[in-house]
Parts: sequence; structure tokens; C-alpha cells
Amino acid sequence: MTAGTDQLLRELAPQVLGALVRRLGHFDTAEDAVQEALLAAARQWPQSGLPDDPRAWLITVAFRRMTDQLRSEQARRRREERVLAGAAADALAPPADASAAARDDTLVLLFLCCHPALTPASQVALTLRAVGGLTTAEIARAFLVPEATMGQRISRAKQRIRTSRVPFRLPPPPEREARLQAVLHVLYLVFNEGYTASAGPGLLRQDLAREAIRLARLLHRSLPDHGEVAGLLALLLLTDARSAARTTADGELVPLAEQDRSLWDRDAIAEGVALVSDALARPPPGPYQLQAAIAALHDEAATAADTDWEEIAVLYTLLERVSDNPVVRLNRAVAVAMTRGPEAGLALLDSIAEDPRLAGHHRLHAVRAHLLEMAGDRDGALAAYRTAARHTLSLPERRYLQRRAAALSGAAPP
Amino acid sequence: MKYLVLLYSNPTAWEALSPDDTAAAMAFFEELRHETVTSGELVDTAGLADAAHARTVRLRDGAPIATDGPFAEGEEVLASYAIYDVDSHDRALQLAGRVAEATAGAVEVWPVMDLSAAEM
Repeated sequence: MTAGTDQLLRELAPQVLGALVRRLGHFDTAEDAVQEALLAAARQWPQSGLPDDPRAWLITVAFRRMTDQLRSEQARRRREERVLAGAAADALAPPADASAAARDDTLVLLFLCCHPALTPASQVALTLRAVGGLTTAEIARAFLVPEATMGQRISRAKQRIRTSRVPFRLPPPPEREARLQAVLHVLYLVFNEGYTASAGPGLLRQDLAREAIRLARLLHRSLPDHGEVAGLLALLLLTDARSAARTTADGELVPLAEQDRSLWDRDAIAEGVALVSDALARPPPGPYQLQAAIAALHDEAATAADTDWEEIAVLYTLLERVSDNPVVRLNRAVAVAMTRGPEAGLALLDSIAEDPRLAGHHRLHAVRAHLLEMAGDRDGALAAYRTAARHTLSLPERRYLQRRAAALSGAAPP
Repeated sequence: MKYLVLLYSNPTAWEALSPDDTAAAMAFFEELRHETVTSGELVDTAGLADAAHARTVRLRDGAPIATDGPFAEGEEVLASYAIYDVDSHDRALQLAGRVAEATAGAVEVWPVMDLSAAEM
């Protein structure tokens, strides 16, 4: 399949699904039917050429599959056919404002896939399939699980939605904001899954990062005035901009301070900075806007030494107020060390270390190691790097921490 | 998060089970498999053949040599493994706990190293 067809299909996927569910209901059956229509298009279009109206083609094929499926459920047969007969023409007819309706449908689908009745893993899988238009096999490969496992996760999620009888419309205003937070979190998880991958089927995992950015763009287009939506899109762009520099060719991690900044994606940075500047003009800033603002300060520094750590420390203080996350406090300790010296950072670290959520957390030890190294305490840093290496569950992080320890001890890495 | 769950059990004790107890244990494993397949958590699982079929391969004088075993007369040997992809550490321990209850064996729970890495 050509990249162009692939892209078109992914854009049309939520529109086609939205059009069918809006008029016929049966989210789970419709979702299966749309997947089959996408696969049929991926097979046929490169040979027969693009149909005149790709969206109508997909709706027609998916509608037929859906009818077949519903018809085979014998008990429902008569009732369904009566409903379906009138609905077919209805689904095919473009709505009065086609682009606005497609935007709304994508938004409703995102809310549906990130429904609180589902586990985060299921929300992620269903979002990628129903809104992202990815196949179960692609999602399974990206998450390094068997296709059958991912298939189960998706069908269980759809079953949950069916039994929860979630209506196909936007959540009512009182709960909309909380539900939107779940959507933002799912997109953030999808992005991280792809961005943090330093090994595995690399291309597919990077696709996840790109997919998250694409979905965040769709969401931003639907809700252009929402600061946190803009903040998330900016954060993803500003983080992804550094991806070419964050690992070496053989998959070793490169810390931010040592990255080759000429490899950073300037266009992505410019777009992210513009988004976050605009979003910050609409206070109060939420956690994604603040994280994006911090990412922007890193990205705008010509060299690591030019980094505006004063401002970053202030932003981490604000971030601590809006998100109760001990890792944020760890990051603030680093920023404080960069402005007021390693001792100030270490003192802050001691107060943070009492947080039970950080007990045995490798990051606490990694930050301590880094600050002790800055302070010239070679033995202390060495011990802390080794402790951090033992505690992390990430293979590339362990290799990185072991390398730092080896460099300090003057020995070759194990 | 992926976890490797290893069941160590005593083959002699296993052989001494009544047919009913054996059937109950088999039913338990089938039920656990079904549950974790349906929940989308099971990555892979299998029971292992008798230790008589197992070999240990080590380098000796620069060449890999296979020897019989590990043998552990009257002791616990590796009997089955499962890899689960679960939402939490507690969930992995919970699954392992059920295996321990059903088999009276020792169940080890090992986090599998992740290939992703956070920003440093």
C-alpha cells in the first residue's frame, strides 16, 4: 500500500465510523465493519485507483459488512432490517456541514474510546484502532504482544462499551472536562510508548509517536480554544523534535545535555513554541501547558549551557502545584541544582526522598548520582549510579547508568 | 508491564495427587488461561515436560556441553511459565498468588526489562 493511501485511510477511518455509528448505533459491529472496509480499500485502491468519493466508498462497503453481520445475528434480524433500510441512504448522504460533522464525530469517538469503564491499556488499544485506523496486528506489534492478546483487549473494550450503553454523543458539560483529561492522558501514553522506544520494531514504535501527534492535532482542531489540548500538542511536538538526537545508531541513550542539537527538528520546535506561547496567554496553565513550556525552554537553548534553568525551576514549582507527582519534584531538584549549585539540589532531594511513592524508584537514585557527580563526590555518585542501574526496569536506562558508573570508576562497562 | 511467572513444584507430590485433585488443578489452569486470554493479559504460557527431558548447557573448555538435568529429587523443579502483560505489579502478584494456592508450589514473579527509556 502506498503511503498516500495509508494516510488517507487513517484520516477517513474515524469519519466513516462516526457516520455509521451516529445513524445506526452498534459501535462494536460498526467498528469491525470499518476495519474490514479499510483492509478492502488497502487491497483494492492501489490496483483499481482511488474511487471518486473515497469516504462514500468506505461507508458503502462498511455498511454492507455491517448489514451482513447484523443479519447473521438471527434473533435481531427483522427488527434490524427495518431500521437499516432507511438508514443506508441517510449514512451516505454527506451532512450539511461535512467537515464540522467529521470533526465532531472524531471527538465523540475519542471520548468513547477513552471511557472510564475501560482500563488504560484498553483505552489506548481502542483509540488506536477506532480513531487511528490502525489494524490489530499493527497495534500488537507496536506493544510487543501477540495479535490474539491485543485482539482480546480490543473486543473486551468494545463489549464493555456495549454493556455500559454509552450513547454516541459528547459527554454532558459537567463531566466533559474530566473525560477530556482521560483523552489527553491516552494520547500522552500512546506518544510515550512510541517516543521512549529505543529498541524493538523501531519504525512501528515511532509511528505511535507520530500517530499520537496526529490525533492530538485532530483534537486541537476540534477544540482550538482549549489550553490543555494545545498544551499537549505542543508538548508532543517539542519532545518529538529531539527524537533523532536522543539515541545513538546502536540504541544507546544520549542525555539531553549531550545531544547533538543540530539534529533537532526546527519546524516542530517552531510550531510547538507558537502553540504553547498562545496557550499560556490563556491562564491558568494546566500540567500539559507547563510541561510544554519547560520543553520549549530546553528546545530553544542553543547549547546545554544556555538553558534557562531559572525559568525552568519556576515552571516546575508551578507544575508541582497542579500535579501531585513526585517525579516533578525530582526534576525541580535538578533545575535547582543547575541554578543554585548541586548542594541545594541534594538538600531538596533529601526532603523528596521521604515520599513513599519514590521508595526504590531508580530515578531518585539516578538524580542523586547526577548531583553527587556535579558536586565532585565520585564515590557517592558511583554508588548511586549502581543503585539506580539495579532498580530500573528499562534495559537502555540500565546500560546508560552502568556506562556512567563505569566512566566514574575508570573501568570499561560490564 | 510484562511479568514472567514461574511455577516450581514437586513432581513427586504432583504424581501422588488423586485423580480428582489432578483434574481440579488442570481445570484451574484452563480457567486461568481462559480468564487472562479474555482480559487481554496473557502473552504466552506453557507447562514444561518432566525434568528428565531437560538439559543444562554450559561452556566447558570453550565448547558448549549439554548435561542431563537439572535434577532435584524430592525438590521443586520448574513446572510451567507464563508471561503476562498487566496494568500493575499487584495484579502480577495476584495472578501468581492464585497459582500458588492451586498448586501449593513456589511461584516466582520476575518483571521483564522494558525496552523503552525515559529522558535522562
